[in-house]
Amino acid sequence: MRGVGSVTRWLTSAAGLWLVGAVVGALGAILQNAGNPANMGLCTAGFIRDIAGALGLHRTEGAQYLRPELIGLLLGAALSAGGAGELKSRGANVGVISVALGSLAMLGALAFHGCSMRAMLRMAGGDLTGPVGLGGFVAGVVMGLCLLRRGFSVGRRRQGPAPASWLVPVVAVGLLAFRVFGPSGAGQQRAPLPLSLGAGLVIGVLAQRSRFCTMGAFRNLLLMRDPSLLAGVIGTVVTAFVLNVVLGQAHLSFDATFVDAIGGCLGMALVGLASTLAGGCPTRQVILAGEGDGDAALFLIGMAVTAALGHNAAIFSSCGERAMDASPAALVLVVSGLAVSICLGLRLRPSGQEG
Amino acid sequence: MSGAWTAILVFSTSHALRIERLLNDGGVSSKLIPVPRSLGSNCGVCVRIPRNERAQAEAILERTRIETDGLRDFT
Repeated sequence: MRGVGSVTRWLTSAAGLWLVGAVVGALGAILQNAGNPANMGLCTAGFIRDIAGALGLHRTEGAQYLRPELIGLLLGAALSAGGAGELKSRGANVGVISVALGSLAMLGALAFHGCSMRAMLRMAGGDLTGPVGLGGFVAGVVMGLCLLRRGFSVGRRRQGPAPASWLVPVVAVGLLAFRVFGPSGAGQQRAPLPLSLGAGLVIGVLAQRSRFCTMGAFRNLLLMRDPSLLAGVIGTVVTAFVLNVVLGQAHLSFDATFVDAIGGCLGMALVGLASTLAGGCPTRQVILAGEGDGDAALFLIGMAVTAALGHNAAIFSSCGERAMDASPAALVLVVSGLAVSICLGLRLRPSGQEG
Repeated sequence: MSGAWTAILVFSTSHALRIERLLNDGGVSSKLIPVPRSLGSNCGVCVRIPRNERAQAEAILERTRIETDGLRDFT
């Protein structure tokens, strides 16, 4: 166990996180090469939207596939946490807030057509909408840090009953069974099942051990001058870029209008803000949910429901021709989402604990 | 960085920020750091103080009645 402990400690160092990021970036590029949509080798928000479609929550063509990568992430995190005695039910028991934050994060992700993971992979593929999104994401993290400095907190997190920690892994196994024995996902852009599931499992284990998180990378750098987690982000982008060049997947492009770029940037600011208030980016929320974190599980449910509503109301298009596109309705929703997030951030302080 | 430290575990980042400010004002050299991996899988924030200033920090925390998630020594 001492050996495992020292490996875990190394994985949380800058060098270890760079390696984890390199694995994430490499698998992202490989999954794209194996059939996943362009620059969406890995995108937690996109995967959740597709899973919502596969479960019949929306009917957008091309976005209805039970992505095995996400199931692998959940199971990998659960197995890793279980092996280390870290599979524990916990949460602040403010369910509606967690659902709302997940919902707001997905609202922003729908405008950008992806989350922070996808922004990194777009950048690595030469798509200049990637840096636009990442810039918005960092701006959202800065806004979130301002709110944390003013005292935002969802309150004390408590340990829950042990069986609750098994609920999410059991649901993940159920989803896997549905994927294996249910509709095959023919017609969807997808990598083969064993590769998708295997990549998810590997990243799930590594991310659980290392605490890989794109929001945490910028939060820790800005709040504590700690660059360790940022090494993971850099490792992801650099490795994915190198592999994209080798595989012929890197193409310099900027396929969006100025208004689209504004919408995408604001959308990613909303993702960054909601992630900071929730304590982790969408990918980190998947890992935390696999570990037994009830707030993270509710965050993911909020994301799935909002993805379905956004597509059913035809406010957001699916990942189509353009990298991101913002209708007037989408812009209004994203700006409203930012306003709601800021109001939540200003109003939510635990009573009796702040002076 | 090596040395004998104590981590003050907290329930939220805003708590950590407030504790850091109060301890620094009270003469305890405190710093925000990511929660050491050996103390949990949480990717959040805690307050690090030198272990030899732990008693002084505990007195300040008790006087100001700030709730924490515990103090843990680490190296």
